[in-house]
Amino acid sequence: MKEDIIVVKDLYKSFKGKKVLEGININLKKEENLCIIGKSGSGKSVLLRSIIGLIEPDSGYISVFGKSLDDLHENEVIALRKKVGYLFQEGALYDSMNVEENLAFPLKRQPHPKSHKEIKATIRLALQRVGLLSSINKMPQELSGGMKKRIALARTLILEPEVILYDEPTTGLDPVTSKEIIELILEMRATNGISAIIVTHDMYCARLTADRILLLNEGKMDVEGSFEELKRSDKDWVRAFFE
Amino acid sequence: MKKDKEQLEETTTEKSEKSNGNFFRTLGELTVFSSRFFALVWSPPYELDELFTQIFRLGYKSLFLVTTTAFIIGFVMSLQLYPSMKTFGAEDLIPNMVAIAVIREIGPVLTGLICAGKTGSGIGAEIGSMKVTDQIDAMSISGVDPYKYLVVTRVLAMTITMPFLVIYSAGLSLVGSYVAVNITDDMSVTMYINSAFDYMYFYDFVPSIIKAFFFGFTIAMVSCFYGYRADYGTVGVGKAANASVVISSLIIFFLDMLAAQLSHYYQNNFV
Repeated sequence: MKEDIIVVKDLYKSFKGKKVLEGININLKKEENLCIIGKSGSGKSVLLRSIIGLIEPDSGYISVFGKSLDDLHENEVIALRKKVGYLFQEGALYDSMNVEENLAFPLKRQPHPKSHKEIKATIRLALQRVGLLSSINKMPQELSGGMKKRIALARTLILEPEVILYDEPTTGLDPVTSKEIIELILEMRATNGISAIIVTHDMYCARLTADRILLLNEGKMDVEGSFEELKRSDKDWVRAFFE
Repeated sequence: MKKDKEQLEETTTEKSEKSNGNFFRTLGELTVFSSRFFALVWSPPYELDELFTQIFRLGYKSLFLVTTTAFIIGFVMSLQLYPSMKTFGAEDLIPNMVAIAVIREIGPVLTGLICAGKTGSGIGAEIGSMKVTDQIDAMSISGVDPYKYLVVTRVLAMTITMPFLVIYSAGLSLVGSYVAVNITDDMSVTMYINSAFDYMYFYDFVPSIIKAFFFGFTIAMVSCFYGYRADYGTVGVGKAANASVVISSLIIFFLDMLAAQLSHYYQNNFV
């Protein structure tokens, strides 16, 4: 039985009186791809941001690699984040820097940074991995949506995280680029054993990437299973996602 | 009718209380936000590359606007003073009056307002757009403290740059004034400089420089604060840029008033 690397218990979060998360419980095992699906505005991104400590929940328990976020000092949270990558919905590339500088930014600021030469080599390798080495000198404004996501994925991978949180990795992309991103997600696990929580409402992405799917409905999460199991669910609203 | 009036008064009171509450809450948040600067500015890693980039961006790129405005202010002041001073036969005092005005008051305040408009709005919009496009969160996730990288560097850059801009602006105003004096009259550079600095003392210069440090710090800190608070997409970015300019301009006037009082007190009691 593989160990749990992320555990969330009884998580509650509301914004200006509007309940967004109501008693969420999830656990992510090592080398597992967990998909969270739900309607837009159902709190999926809030859940991901809470896991990484970008949003402070109203109540509940979050543990990452066996460490409770509540017990950690800010510096310890920052250190822990290096083990957890996050792919933002729009990529979140730094628009004042070119692709190379975007990738060099986190590398140069590690406690024991690599040499200039090693950083350059690592960047080239990461860009090769996502098939965008030719864009090394481009600015983010010159990149398409799909390219931005792949560069953002390269920037996430460059710190060699053990788990990646993907926020809508294929939303707004054409089918070909979506497939490339999905293949990269699968490759990450196959080659590096990286676990993932993938928040999406792209059922094609969920079907190909997920070992397990959780359904978030009005801030609650009470349906869990594989793609095929949920597709055959006796609940109409669950089946509606798969039809 | 009476009930309506009571309701109206109640609503007005509630609104006033809410507005006061918002004001004090924002002030408290700004204080907490600013206090982080003093905690982080001393601790490594020092983002020197970013600091020099910001000094170039915030300082050097404001030079054209500061040059134009300062020159024109000095020029116009002298031209406007000339007829009145001539009536009393005191044209020779124009350089000194302009020098005192631009060094003690107009130089720092004008440069502060120009920087609040140009660099303050720029910082507010830049950090605001980084906030709404998740770039600040992305920094945080990659193990970098975005406050240290974005706020500390900009605030430090602006605080360092501002005194130089103020000195430069005062110098340019005197050049403008000298040109204007020579349009209406004939005066050598040596005579102009002698006349300008004849009644100037050490305590005329020092408060300006101290004010400039505070203005620089205020403009950058307030702009970073509003940029960091930006929300709701492009509308939020616009609001952040706007608030950066309005609030930092107001604080500049408030600090200037405070500095004038302190300077007055110092001169009366210690000089």
